Amino acid sequence: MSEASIRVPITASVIQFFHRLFTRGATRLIYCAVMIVVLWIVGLPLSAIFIASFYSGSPLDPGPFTLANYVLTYTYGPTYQALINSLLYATTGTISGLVIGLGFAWLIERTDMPFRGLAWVLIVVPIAIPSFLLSLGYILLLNPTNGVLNVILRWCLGFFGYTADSGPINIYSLGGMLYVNAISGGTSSFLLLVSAFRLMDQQIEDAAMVCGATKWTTLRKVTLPVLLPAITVATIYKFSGDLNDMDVPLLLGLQSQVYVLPTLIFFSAFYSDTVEWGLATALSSPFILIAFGLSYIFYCVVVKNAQQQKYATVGGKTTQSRRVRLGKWRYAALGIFLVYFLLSTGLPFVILLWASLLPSYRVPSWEALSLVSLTNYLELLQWPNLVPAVWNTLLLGFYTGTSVMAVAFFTSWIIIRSQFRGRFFLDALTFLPHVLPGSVVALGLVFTYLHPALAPAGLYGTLFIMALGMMVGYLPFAIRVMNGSLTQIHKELEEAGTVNGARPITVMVRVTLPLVLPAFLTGFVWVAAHAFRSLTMPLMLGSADTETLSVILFNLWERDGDFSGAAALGMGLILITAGLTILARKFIQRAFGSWERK
Amino acid sequence: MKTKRLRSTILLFICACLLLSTVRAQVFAQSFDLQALKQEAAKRKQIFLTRAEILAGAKKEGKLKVVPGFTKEGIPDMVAAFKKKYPFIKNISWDVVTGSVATQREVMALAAGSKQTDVLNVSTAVLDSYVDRHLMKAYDFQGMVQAGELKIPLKMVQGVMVWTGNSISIIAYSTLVVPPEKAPKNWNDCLDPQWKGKVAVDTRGRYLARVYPAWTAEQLLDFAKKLKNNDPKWVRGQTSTMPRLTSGELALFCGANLHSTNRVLVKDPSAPIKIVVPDPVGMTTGDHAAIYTKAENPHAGLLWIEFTASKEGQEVRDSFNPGDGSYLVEGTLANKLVGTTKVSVCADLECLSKQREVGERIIVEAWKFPKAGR
Repeated sequence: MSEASIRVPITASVIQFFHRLFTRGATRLIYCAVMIVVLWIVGLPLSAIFIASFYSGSPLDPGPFTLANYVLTYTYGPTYQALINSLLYATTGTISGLVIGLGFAWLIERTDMPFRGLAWVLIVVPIAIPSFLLSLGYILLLNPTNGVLNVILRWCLGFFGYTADSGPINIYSLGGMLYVNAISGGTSSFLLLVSAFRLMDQQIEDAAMVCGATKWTTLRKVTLPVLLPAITVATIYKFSGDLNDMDVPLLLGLQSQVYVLPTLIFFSAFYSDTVEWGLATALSSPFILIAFGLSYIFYCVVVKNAQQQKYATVGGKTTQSRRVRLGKWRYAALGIFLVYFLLSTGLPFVILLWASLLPSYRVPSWEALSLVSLTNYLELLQWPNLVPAVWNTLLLGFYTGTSVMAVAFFTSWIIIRSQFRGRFFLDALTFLPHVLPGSVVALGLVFTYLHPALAPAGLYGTLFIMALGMMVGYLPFAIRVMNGSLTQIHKELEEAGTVNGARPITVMVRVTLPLVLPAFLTGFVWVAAHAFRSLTMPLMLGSADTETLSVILFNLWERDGDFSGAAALGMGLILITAGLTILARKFIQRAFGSWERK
Repeated sequence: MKTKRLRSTILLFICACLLLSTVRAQVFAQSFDLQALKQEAAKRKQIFLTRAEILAGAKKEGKLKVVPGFTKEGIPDMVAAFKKKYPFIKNISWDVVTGSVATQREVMALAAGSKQTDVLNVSTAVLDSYVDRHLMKAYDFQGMVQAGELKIPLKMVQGVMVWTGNSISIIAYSTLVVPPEKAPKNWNDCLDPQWKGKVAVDTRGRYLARVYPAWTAEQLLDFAKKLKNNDPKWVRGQTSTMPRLTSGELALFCGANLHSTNRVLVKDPSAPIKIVVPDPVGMTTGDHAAIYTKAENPHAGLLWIEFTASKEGQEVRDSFNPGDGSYLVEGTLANKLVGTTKVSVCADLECLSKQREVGERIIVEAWKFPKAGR
């Protein structure tokens, strides 16, 4: 055999080796890279706070190892009652959120309800309003003494003999708490479901009806089962978010002595200047167990079936989606939407707008009209750091939205598509921050990124570290959006790419990503809107050079006690978010105009 | 005649010598005293500086970085006033730290050396963290103040720190709901059944706890229990309560912050709320300033602390946040309002710690809010 002929087999072997590395090895490299990124972003901060929960004292000055926090949690009687209250609170909120989200997602994406585009924007805009402003808006509307709605209701009911000088609605009650939670929780559920409806193939339903199924039977046995991944994702996300909700129960539930677990955490760990971080984490541990349980349910119910393409609605064939004609019910549907919008956002928005035009809040009256002026807005415009703050806010929204959705896409691909053994752990790990108190998670980030080993990296006080910190809080939603969407994409499309020689990363980016782009953009809008109003990370990880609008708002609220000024700035945040949402919606419409049917 | 003149001259000369030597002795004694004070401070591992040393050092430094405890809006005014007094300190920068997590971050960053500042705003809630990490330079403020090297009211000195602000608990009421003849005058008016269900009380017991040590812990707990029996409206935060007061939903706010309430009145003089300073008025000291151990400009920092505690600095502070300035300094709103009213204030850190403990007991024992661990 000649030397030349020996060289050929060796060269061919080397080429084959690298070819295998770049095909099969590339996939494993992607798994490893994503795992490392997720462990870095989520695992490190969470492990810092979990470790801290096994030590007395603060993470800053840890004492000896102890199980006292956990012993205290599970031997303290009220813990269980608070947990039951939390479960009830979350269940009612989830049911209503699901009904609202599912109902409006269907109306906007699948029917010919008028002003659908506007409705899409109006459902998303509430994200921009900081929760403490929105909560106060509800109180000013519905407090039994002189809440604006109550005053109007008393006047109306006066014709029917109602003579009481308070009520009829009392927001400081268990019912008030449940009402506010129910009415204000539709946005996230809607966003988790809307892209699923967009990717739904009408032919599946047509096939059922051709076989004699009624509309109701089709809905029960075809539509809802196909949407099961998205519904499961929305349910799990809403439920766990409501478990962790503290603002509404603390503001409204105390009067009726209703304590949920987050309220218990507040009084046990956060009420004084000396915060008990370890106890806060230990008291959250029931939620952590629930989060793992929910992730396991998602894994068993959805992921395993998704791998058999049970929920795929987008395949190699052309898909069709027609809008359901509502006929005379079109305007009734619009009416229902408007009532919901008014109750959930419109009325609190009007109250906040009214407050922003006054030097200090007054109940709307002819006398108070004489105090109306644009002074608060003019003062804001003269704020020395306003322009840099707006720029920082927009940049932060963009960085965070892009990075979160990018990581979510790859992570979700591994969870739904791969056979990677650690995918359940990956899903559960990224979900955990959603059930922990925000301050506790934030502390974990502080201890991670300000560790002396990392200090030379110079991340302190930069927009980058703020975006990194926010990723922890927004990954749960982003991954759930992508999970729901990916289950609807048939593998055959990706296999077609692989068969034609595309590498895994190429298939992901050039085949899968364009198909799930509606969900990607929806998630981007949600993340960016939350980043605009996010307060915890900019306050803790930012510096004077990276001040954002939310920090200015916080200073107005907390340090200056200026409710009217804060309300004015809140209006500004709503405008920015509305602009972003309109742009995103237009892009989705243009890019996916072929999805629109007659 | 000649002899008489000679005698007078000699006498005069001797007197002059005596006078000169007395003055020189005094100067020598003073410098000897200052030396003694320095040595005394050194024995306690503290640093004593004379005013001349402080000024000379500050001139050499020429710049400063601070973390003030007061509202951010007022920092530029304070900096401008300070620069006017000390024009040789040309470059002043600042940072703001808000909240417990940000404080933890601050402590970590300072300990790691990844943050640089000259003047700290010390959170007494985590004072041990500062002490254990040796973050505060041990200046003998008490000695320097007593020797007249620094012009700071002595009561504002607490160890190696100087507090420059205070928070005062008062009663605010809505004039839409409360007629002048029924206006509250004192703490016990919060227990009046006519205000049942209309009295706002912050769930954080510390606002009431400020009345310690003027009232004993038991007196405070008893008051808190009676307050609970009057069916209060539990609130959280001053800002979110003020609109409810100005709208008339709430009649009284017992334990309101003086400067939070006054801010509303400054912005809107026609706001339908009034302030009542009860007796005793509850107060807590705040904005504890100290020099960072690794400060690059410690002398300029000392001048800053002195300035913010001075009448001039407190006037500036009170101008952008009335009620926030120290009650010890004449001319501040707190000083005017307190007047001859008995002030309940903790003179030392041990008392502050006890005050916090009383606040916790109010929440758990008197108000029965759930707290794991109690």
